Amino acid sequence: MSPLIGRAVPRVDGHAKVTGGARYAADTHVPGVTYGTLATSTIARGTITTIDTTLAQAVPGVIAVFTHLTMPRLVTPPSPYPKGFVPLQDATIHHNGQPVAYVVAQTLEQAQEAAALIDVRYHAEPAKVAIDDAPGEEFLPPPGPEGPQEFVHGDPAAGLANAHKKVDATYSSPVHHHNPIETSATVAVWDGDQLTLHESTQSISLTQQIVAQALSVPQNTIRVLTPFLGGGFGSKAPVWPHTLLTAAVARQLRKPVKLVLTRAQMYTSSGHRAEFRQQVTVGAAKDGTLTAIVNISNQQLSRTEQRVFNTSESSWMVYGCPNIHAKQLGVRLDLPTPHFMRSPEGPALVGLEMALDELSYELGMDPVALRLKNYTDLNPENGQKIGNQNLPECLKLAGDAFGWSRRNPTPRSMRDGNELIGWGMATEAHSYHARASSAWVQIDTDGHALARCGTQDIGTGTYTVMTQVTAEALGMPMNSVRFELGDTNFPAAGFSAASVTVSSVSGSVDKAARAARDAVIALAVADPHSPLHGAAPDRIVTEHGFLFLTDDRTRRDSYQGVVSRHGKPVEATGSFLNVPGYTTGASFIEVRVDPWLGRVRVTRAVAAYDIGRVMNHRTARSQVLGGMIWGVGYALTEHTMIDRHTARIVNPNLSGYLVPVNADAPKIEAFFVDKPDPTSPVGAKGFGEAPITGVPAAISNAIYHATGRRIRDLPITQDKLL
Amino acid sequence: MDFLIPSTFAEALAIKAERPEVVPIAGGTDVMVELNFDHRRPTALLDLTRIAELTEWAPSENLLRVGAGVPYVRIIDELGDRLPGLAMASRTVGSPQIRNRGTVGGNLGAASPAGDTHPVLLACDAQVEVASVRGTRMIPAAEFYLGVKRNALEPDELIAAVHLAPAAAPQQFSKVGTRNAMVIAVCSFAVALHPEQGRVGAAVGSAAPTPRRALAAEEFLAGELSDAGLWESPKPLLDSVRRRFGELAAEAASPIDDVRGTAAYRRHALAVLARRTLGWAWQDYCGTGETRSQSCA
Ligand SMILES: Cc1cc2nc3c(=O)[nH]c(=O)nc-3n(C[C@H](O)[C@H](O)[C@H](O)COP(=O)(O)OP(=O)(O)OC[C@H]3O[C@@H](n4cnc5c(N)ncnc54)[C@H](O)[C@@H]3O)c2cc1C
Repeated sequence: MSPLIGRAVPRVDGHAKVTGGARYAADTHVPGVTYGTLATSTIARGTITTIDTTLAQAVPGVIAVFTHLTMPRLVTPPSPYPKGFVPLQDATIHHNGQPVAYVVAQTLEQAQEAAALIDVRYHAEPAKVAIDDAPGEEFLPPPGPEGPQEFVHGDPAAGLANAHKKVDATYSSPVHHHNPIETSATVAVWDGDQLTLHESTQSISLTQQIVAQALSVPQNTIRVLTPFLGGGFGSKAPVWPHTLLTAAVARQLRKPVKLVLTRAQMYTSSGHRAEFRQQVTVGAAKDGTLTAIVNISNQQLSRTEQRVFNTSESSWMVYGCPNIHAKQLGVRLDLPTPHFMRSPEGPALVGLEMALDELSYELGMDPVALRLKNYTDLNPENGQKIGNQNLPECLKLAGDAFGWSRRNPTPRSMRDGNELIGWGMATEAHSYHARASSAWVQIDTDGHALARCGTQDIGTGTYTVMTQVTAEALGMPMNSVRFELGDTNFPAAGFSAASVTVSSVSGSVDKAARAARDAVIALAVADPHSPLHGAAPDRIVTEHGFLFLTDDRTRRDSYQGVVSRHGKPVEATGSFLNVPGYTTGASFIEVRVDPWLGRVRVTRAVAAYDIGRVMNHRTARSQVLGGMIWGVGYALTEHTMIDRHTARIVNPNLSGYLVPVNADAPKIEAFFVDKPDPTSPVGAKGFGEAPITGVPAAISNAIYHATGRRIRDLPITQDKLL
Repeated sequence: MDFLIPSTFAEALAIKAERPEVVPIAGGTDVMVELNFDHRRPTALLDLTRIAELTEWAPSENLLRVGAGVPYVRIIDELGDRLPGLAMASRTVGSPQIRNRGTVGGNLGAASPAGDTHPVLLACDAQVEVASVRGTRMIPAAEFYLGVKRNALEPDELIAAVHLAPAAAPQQFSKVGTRNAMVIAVCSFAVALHPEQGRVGAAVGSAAPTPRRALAAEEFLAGELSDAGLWESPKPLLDSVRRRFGELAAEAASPIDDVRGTAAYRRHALAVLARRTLGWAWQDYCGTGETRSQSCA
């Protein structure tokens, strides 16, 4: 039987999603629910001097208006809670859009009406909202969970001094926001001292933990449910204040409360990709061998948190270089705390991949050849293999399909009529973490299997892929298997972020399913009524819901037969901790530039990745499509604009914040090396974030090839190309 | 908030006369955005979508009368041959959903300097038919736009239709956006050839407080074309003529810097759009049948 894993199985939840059957947090209907709304600050820094809620309280239907004076006291949870403070606990304002009041009413409209009537007076202090506002204020933050903020290997100064050719340039990108289609929602329902949270989160277990800390209640009194998520991209991986406030308000009022953030509130109530600036210096010998990589970056931090999210591991993980210096500086600004956004490793790689393209021109060397010359599979931190051994194969797969060998490297050498055509490429790379997970599998007397794991499907296809994993391990058809997730009552798993879900969860699901299968085989061979009675368990295989003796396939039983005779379901659990690793690939991009208007269209994208064994070609390809298209936005259009005078975001909506639309999406081809990773029981590596990490650089490099213009400040808007 | 649903235009006009503060709503693609963003809170909405008269188009004397409520999708499908400029502008509006709902009447009602149909209406000498219980009047497009999002309607008036001559010669529209679709114009330009009058209509969008005719460009080109007798025996235009036309078109604008683009970029791009659209239109007029990409810039 051909394996289920790998097949381009359509999404098992697809029908529910397109017919409205999938219930997202905001769709949760709870009898007697009340509606919460946030009133938010209009200054970025200072204190509230007075807050008058009289008019708001008088709006019909208003149940309560909480301010920092009346809000229940909460504990500020430690990291990984990312804010460093809980709003509505004191009068201090840390950023524009910070909640200053929480209104609860019978209807949403009443709550919104009341929120607009709250009169807040501030003592405002001057705010700084851009790196340029705070020259000289950058500092080296203390080590974070990923380690120190500075990495030195070898002698970078000597490496640069000995270089035959050098590139030294500064690359920058603005604040970006995630913009998942589902804005974050929380429905908090208390029953005595038990709390149920219907939540838009990429991590139900983290939500349980952080809410318990904030409310000072035992973790096991909280149940978090996230059966579906309308995209996250990192914005819903941490727990943000609106969740804590909603849980607290619902407890205080003894009423269920629903809060759905508006699109505009998403721009200040969850994280963002910090404004980023990096000076990249690379040197190479005549033959292209890198002699030094130096990446000194600076990025926005908030005044209440100093964790660095745009990290530079690509400086030492992708290319072998004897001399490396990476330094991650930060500068505190009066903005919300930044966080990770698919992918936090992207911004640094974008600079490196643009610098390498520049270096290839300095050296007169093909950019692919330059990368092949230097790629490494060894981590200089510890000398261990990192799983980057198939980058050359990715470069070849994608490069051949793209037709890279036909490229004339001279800028402005390719035209079609009036349009300039450019081809560019970049390596793509992302690490994935190790996360423990557990799963439970039950085989019922009707021969159906139910698998459960407290993981999430953030739109990436967890339901589908884990149904495949379970079915394959059991030897059952997919339609006999049901996989459930998104409930903290299920065995725990980690967050669905950092490209870790499949790599982590597939291990425990596979183990639990195999244990359940083995238990059924054990029942069969011990059962005098089974045709398999007395057989050696290791001579039995399971396929299509049946158990066969390998030596004599006429002796067979079925899951249904064995378990129904047993009279009760068979269950088993499995736990797994995946090995962390690194996933790389390459993207090749064609652009067409209208030189008179500076208009860029990305017309073709070809990419290849080593993601271990491809679990599902359809969902894997979807990750590439999403990453590529988002990379077009990153390179050409996306930019959160913050007014320097008012510290307000001026484009907090999908009309002003320009994500790519269909007409911006190129034709995309995706290839996979498809070799099982030996550290995973099912062969999976982490994937998800790698596609996008190099795309902006590949586009910028293609624009250089088309026009001869090197634009190092993203996004590359049309005015910059005139 | 009241939601008033007249079923005839007369009924709608009566309501508007009695309650001039009510906000008409056609496709709602501007009105609903404004309500959503809390930019306005009308006491009542006047729904025009049940009024059959507004959703019809028909020949009227030697013009076409297009009801204010005809959605873009129908202009594209049904009038693409007779009103090619308007159809081109309609194709660039929003997305299919917006083109299904949005109307020229709504574009005029909103009177945004960035509305896509305005340069075409100006270049084609359209007349806006407005009505009230007091009667009906025709306002030339060039007199309709008074300021940023301000038009010549009196408080008791509604837009009934636009009147345009079926195209006797090529028309072109082009728009620069910040992405390839679903964008408010950074700037736009329309040109319409009027050989019977020996002149050319030209107008800029999204580059001044109102959409504007590029009068100096129109006059320059009319002079060049008739001096050289090109209307009667068309020949390819000199590059210098197209360039000068572009420069004059750009000079008609008084753009500002905003989130979508800088004033300098707008001026530059307008010159390019004007030069190109004229090139395409003139090439069609010459009947060379060459493809656009070979002729542009
Ligand atoms: C996602 C999106 C994309 C868009 N893209 C574009 C674009 O690319 N180009 C563009 O030009 N516009 C665009 N728009 C704006 C809008 O779609 C257009 O302006 C459209 O023409 C409005 O028509 P409507 O029928 O929906 O108007 P409505 O929203 O119903 O009305 C608009 C205004 O006109 C008034 N009004 C409507 N009908 C009459 C009437 N008969 N008499 C008097 N006043 C009237 C209303 O009171 C209101 O002030 C977009 C809007 C959205 C939401």
